[in-house]
Amino acid sequence: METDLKFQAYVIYLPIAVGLTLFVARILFKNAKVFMMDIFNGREEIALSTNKLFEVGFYLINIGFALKIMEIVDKYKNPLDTGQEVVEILAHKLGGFSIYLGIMLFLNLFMFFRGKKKAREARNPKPTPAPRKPILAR
Amino acid sequence: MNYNVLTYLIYLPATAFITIRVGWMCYHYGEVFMKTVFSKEPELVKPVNQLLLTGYCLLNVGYAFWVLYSWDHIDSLGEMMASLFQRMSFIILGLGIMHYVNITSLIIAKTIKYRFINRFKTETKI
Repeated sequence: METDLKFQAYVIYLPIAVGLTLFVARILFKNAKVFMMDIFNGREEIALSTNKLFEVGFYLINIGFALKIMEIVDKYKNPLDTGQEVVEILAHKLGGFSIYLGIMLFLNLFMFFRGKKKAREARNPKPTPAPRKPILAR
Repeated sequence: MNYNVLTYLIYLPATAFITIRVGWMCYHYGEVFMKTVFSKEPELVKPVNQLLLTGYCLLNVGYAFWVLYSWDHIDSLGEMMASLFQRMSFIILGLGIMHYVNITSLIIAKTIKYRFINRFKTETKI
């Protein structure tokens, strides 16, 4: 069986991308439990299952994206022929994927904060402000 | 192995090491600041701090890897040193500038918060 350089690049790319996704998702959803407990008002069962569901969604979206950007398109119509080009293109792809994962992580963090704020507002609604005193009435 | 691959082999671990090291320092010494920011919810400090560290490492190491694509062709040791340290200086300077921007924004946020609280206190006293 003959293996070309592109095939080798894919074989290196896939485990690293999937492993990075698993690592980030584990850290993110380990720390998200605090937020979920707060959002669901301390009801542990529903908080943990929502957390799990979000985790599955995170895996699906990010592994799907990693597979989507996997294909190596030849630069300037030259086929991939040296090890140097393989290193360059792998670093480019993995770096781009890592930036994407970082943005997704911050997006999720932002969502958790927003959910927490909304839950707190729903728990103790703001009192309606008292009507203002008319200035001219004495 | 040509000079380019040698440069990459030095560049990637060095930038990753510097970035992660700086991140750990900020994680460690920034906890005090996080405690003042989340003074009402102390249970949030550690998760948020960990998530910030992870996101920081992903973004910066990812950027360091990402710019490898447009590296010039190198054919002597002198060129290798020059381009290597120019790239690394770019990354390190970027980290330093972001660091100072972070510190300044934290201080500004803190002063605004305290000024607001003080004004509120004086208003209620009257």
